[in-house]
Amino acid sequence: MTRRDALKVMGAGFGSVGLARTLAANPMTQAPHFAPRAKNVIFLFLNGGLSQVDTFDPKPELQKRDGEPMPGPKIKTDRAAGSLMKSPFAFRKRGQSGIEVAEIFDKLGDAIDDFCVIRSCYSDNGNHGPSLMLMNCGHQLPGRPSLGSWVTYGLGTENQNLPGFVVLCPGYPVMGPVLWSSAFLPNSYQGAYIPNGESDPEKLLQNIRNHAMTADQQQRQLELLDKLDSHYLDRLGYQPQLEASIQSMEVAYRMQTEAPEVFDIAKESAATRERYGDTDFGRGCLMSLRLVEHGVRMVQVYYGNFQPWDSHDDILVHGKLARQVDGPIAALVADLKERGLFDETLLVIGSEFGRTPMIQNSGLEKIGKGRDHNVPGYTTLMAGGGIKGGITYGATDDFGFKAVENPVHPHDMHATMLHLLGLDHTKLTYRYSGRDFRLTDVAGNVIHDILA
Amino acid sequence: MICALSLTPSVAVRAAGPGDAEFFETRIRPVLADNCYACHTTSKMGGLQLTSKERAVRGGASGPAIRPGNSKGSLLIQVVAQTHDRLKMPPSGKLSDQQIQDLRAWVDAGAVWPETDDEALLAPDVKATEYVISPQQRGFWSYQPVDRPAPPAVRNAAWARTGVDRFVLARLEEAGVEPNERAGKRELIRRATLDLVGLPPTPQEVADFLADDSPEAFARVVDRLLASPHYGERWGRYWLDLARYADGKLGTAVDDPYANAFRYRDWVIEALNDDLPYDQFVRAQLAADLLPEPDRSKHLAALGFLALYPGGDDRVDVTTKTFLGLTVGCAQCHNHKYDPIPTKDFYSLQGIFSSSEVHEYPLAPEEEVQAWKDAKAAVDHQKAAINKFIEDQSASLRKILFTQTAEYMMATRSVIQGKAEPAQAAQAAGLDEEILGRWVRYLRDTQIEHPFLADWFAVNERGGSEEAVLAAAEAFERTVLAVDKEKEEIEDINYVRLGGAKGVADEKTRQYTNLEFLDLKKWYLWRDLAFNPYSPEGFKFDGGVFYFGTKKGFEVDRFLSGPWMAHLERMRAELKDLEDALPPQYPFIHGMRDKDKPEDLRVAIRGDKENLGEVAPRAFLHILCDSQPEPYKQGSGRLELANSIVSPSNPLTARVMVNRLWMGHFGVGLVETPSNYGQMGERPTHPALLDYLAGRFVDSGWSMKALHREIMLSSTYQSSIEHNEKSAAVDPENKLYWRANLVERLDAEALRDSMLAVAGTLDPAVGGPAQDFGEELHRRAVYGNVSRTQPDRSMALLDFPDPNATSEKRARTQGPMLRLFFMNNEFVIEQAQALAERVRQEAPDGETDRIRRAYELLYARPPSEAEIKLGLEYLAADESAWPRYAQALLASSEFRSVR
Repeated sequence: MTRRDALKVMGAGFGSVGLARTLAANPMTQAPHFAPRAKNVIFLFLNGGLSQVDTFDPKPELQKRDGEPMPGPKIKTDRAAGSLMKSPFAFRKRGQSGIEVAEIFDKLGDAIDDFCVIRSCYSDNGNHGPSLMLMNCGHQLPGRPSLGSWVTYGLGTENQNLPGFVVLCPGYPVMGPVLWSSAFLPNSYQGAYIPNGESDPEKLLQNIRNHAMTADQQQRQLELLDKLDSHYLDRLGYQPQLEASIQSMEVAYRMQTEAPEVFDIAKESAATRERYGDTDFGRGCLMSLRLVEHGVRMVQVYYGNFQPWDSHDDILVHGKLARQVDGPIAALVADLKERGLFDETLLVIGSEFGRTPMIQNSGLEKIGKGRDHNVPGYTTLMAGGGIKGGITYGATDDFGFKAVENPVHPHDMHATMLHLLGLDHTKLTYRYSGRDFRLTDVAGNVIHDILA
Repeated sequence: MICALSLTPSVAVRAAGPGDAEFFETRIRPVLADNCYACHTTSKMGGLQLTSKERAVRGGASGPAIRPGNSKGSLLIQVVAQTHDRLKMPPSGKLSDQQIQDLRAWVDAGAVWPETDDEALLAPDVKATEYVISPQQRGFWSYQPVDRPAPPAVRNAAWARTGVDRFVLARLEEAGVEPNERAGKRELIRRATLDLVGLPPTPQEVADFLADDSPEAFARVVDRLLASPHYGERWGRYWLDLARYADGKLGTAVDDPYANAFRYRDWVIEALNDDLPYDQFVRAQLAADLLPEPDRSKHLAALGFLALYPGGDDRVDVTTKTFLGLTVGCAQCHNHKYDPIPTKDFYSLQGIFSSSEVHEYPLAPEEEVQAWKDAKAAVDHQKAAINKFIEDQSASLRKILFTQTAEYMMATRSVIQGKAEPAQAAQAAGLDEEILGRWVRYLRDTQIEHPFLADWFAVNERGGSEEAVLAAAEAFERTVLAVDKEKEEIEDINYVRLGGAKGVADEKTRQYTNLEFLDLKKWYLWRDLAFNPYSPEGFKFDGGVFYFGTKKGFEVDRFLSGPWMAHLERMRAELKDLEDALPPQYPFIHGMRDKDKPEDLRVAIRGDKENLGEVAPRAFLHILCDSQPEPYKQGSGRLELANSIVSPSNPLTARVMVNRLWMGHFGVGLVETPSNYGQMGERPTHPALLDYLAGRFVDSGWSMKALHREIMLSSTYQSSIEHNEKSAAVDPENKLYWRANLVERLDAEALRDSMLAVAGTLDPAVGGPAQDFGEELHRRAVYGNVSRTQPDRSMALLDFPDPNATSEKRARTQGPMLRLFFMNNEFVIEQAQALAERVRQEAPDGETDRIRRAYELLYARPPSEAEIKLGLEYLAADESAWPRYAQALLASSEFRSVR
């Protein structure tokens, strides 16, 4: 339904007041600080901690010294770490760039020339909660707005009938909604959380359908409501603020039809759906494609509930997880390209931290082969609008433990992402409780070397 | 010779001895510059400045950094060699052995340090070692004593009924702005009722007020509302925003509610309803456990303020923002950038909280508590005994099954090849059908991650003879037995290494002992055959073909018989009896208590807990003390802290709280940053009024109800919202309060509760355990379960604050999501139906009568003729239109706004 059709449907009763008011469902598109390289963001979050040394950061030295203690002074990890453990997965040079990728990311390996592999990420805290907060909100404790909230605050949204920032997870990751909170920014910038364990869009979306009346009845009811509000405004006299804030019914009415369509992956061909697979993450990737296609500014897809990538007991679980995300990610890259969205969408794949090159000492009863949390070094992938593909950036030490070359903090990551969206992270501020706040606090440097 | 001129250090070390200036320049200064200057020049972390020999010898808070000629006795060397028990430097990682050796040699050679321009690294103002608060900082408005200004003289004495009015009017008259007249009585009672109890007035209450012509009529309304138990529900909820109250934990996979958290929420509501003086209100929340009886028992639940937030890392931040309007949390890593709050202050307060601990105070007699604990222990003990028995039986079963590996493989082969049905194949070979099913899934569907089955698959693939296949299976079986034996040996070694059963049982010992492991590939083999099958989401099968044990669906029962099974059944029956006998857990309070040994903290330099500086004695903030803060001496110091906060000499506490109440009534504060009274906060718009109210508040014995009354009986509060061109031209934002502010949207609880109230479905019961939100919750929203991890989506949509951080103000967003809520939400639709039914019953005389009734209920006013006509037309078109009409009335902007 076009906007003009909708107006016709809604009839003259709406026009009298409705049109006089702002139509914005979300804050309207706002001008960036400078010419952006990307318009949208898709952030695929492999929550729990993606092991760098088993995926995108091969370490021959680790393979060689399997079973030996980590050389050098005693290092600090969350729990006592055991000896070095080589990766059970084989690495192979892929693409024109020859970037080495583990076998468990085979399809992503085919597309590696589109990715910048940042191998020198580091974070500040070895626990999931604070590191998740840092990666999502730029601060270890709750109370700061999330990346997506800052982005929509800075740029508004393209589609007035959809939320500007959407978060997909079947349930909740660790920490839950504080990860997409707008905190002190206005509530309209909060991530719209969609539990994508469902695929029926009417169950996904809150208050999107009325089961108590027919469409005709609702239309009449909304006309009545508009008149009630007109009477009230007349009674109040001059109240420009209220008048402006009583949002048009037209937008809400149209959201009822448009939003479910966008979220409905059944609208895609069976062949397309098959490439993404019928998993929560696969559906999430496909949904994120449809959402950015329809003008949603930022979509964040969490792999799953709680922290599925937290392979303390057995790193082979990473193999299963990776094979499950590999296909959908490759499909998403291909479809973004095919639909002409790749160059305007920033695709980020990462997690809150990495995993130790050492085996986790988990004790007598439960001899496992897992890895612990690794904060000093981990890997994040970026692709799409404004990113130089087919390169690696930074490096960890010989064992993949610590970022030693061009270390990248979440603040730097955020600064770079905002930069690609045309926002200067030092100027994107919000005054609250007497202070100008930034996503990057007082830090953050744009990583110019990875920009195309 | 060419090399000697080079600047590479490896050469320079040969050229210069450790007592030479050149050695210092090439080997020492660069190390200091790269690793130490960031913190030990201008920042002088720990009081240490490494800018000259003199300063290095003088040292910092921990003593001299170097003793020339004595590297062993030099703190600097101990710290960089990381042999010191507390200090380890630099924070970025240990220096190389060569660098440490150089430093050592340099100190031993007398620490030659040529006079150079390193002093230039020091800014001129940082030479003093004590943190100094400048007179300008001390003179900042919010730290000045509350003076008690007399209300100023005004011309329009008729308008100015109260002291508040005279302060407001004086400013208006100065600006030449005329204040509005009093609002109409209907608007007034609706405004007052929604303000104080968060519900609209009933038609009867409106009628009573209209009929009361006395000058005291409105005061009577205010008093009636202040006496209502709903007052505490409304205003207590605002306090809970500040206290980041929730009913459960953060960071759990599923919501994990505390069954007893509500006792804090109820304590707050009750304290407000009882008008507990604010000083006592503060003291109780910080230190109820340290109060004398009977106050201690009465107020113990108040400690939920500190106890309910998991981890409690934010206590300094929340406490100082909430009570003092100071952002002391900003001083965790460095001295506050704007306010006179040194890092030391943060750790002085943090030390108070770290000397305290969360403690559960039972609300049942000791015998009952003990009885429950004993009963619980018996249940746990019995469960453990059953599990042990099952594990032992499973382990011996596993040993048997390992020896049947080859037989299972052969049977599996015939099933996969389609030569036999599983049941038939199992029976033929005398095997267990269910286990055979697992083998089929394993060998057919699973990606195998060890090499030991390679031969077997190869033989099968090339269609090897029956004998060859059997030989491969038997070879595999031998491997299995060998790996299992090896694993047993490793476990024996580890058992000894851990120090026997005691060490095995101890988590910490297990984590910090270096243990032997099976080789990775062998481990995968063993895991596939015998490990507890775990299935991360989305995976069909993950090891454990021979696993039996405590996991559901893998019971060992069917392999047990005779006395073994009888024994297990008897133990289970006993467990059931014990569980049946276990009463529900006794109620308790989430409280705090002092630790046995309270301890001062050291300042964590740049927030790094591994890098500790000077001791910060537990004490109050420097800026709020006349001289050096007196260290607290009683236990953790919490009660002393509370007393400092409510001390008459502390001007902030009263100013902060009167402003919060003012903001609740006017929508804006006299200070627009209600939790920040520092340099970066807003200045008060009416400083004299703020102090007048703060003084009255303290003088009234810290009565919150008296303050509400004082505010609400003013003409300022009672003015109409009427627009006035002339006034608006001078003061368009109404900063001077010439009119009342329109509340454009009620907050989440008032909106939800008001819908229930007008629909006649509100359950007004006060207090008690939290209930889940949803259509069934007909109690006031303050009794809904507040989850830290899974917030109610409707409440979130209505801007219910995030309970994970202290929240000073409510957002009130409008927009299409709100529209959709009113259009389609089940709760709204149900209340509309109830409202339609209520109106039908209460107004039997036809449609017009019903419309009138609905308007009285929702808007506290009769409808206009035009509104009646609009309603009649809508209703005439359709018999069953009433619920939809009622829904439109609820969805209207009038219902959710207050004028």
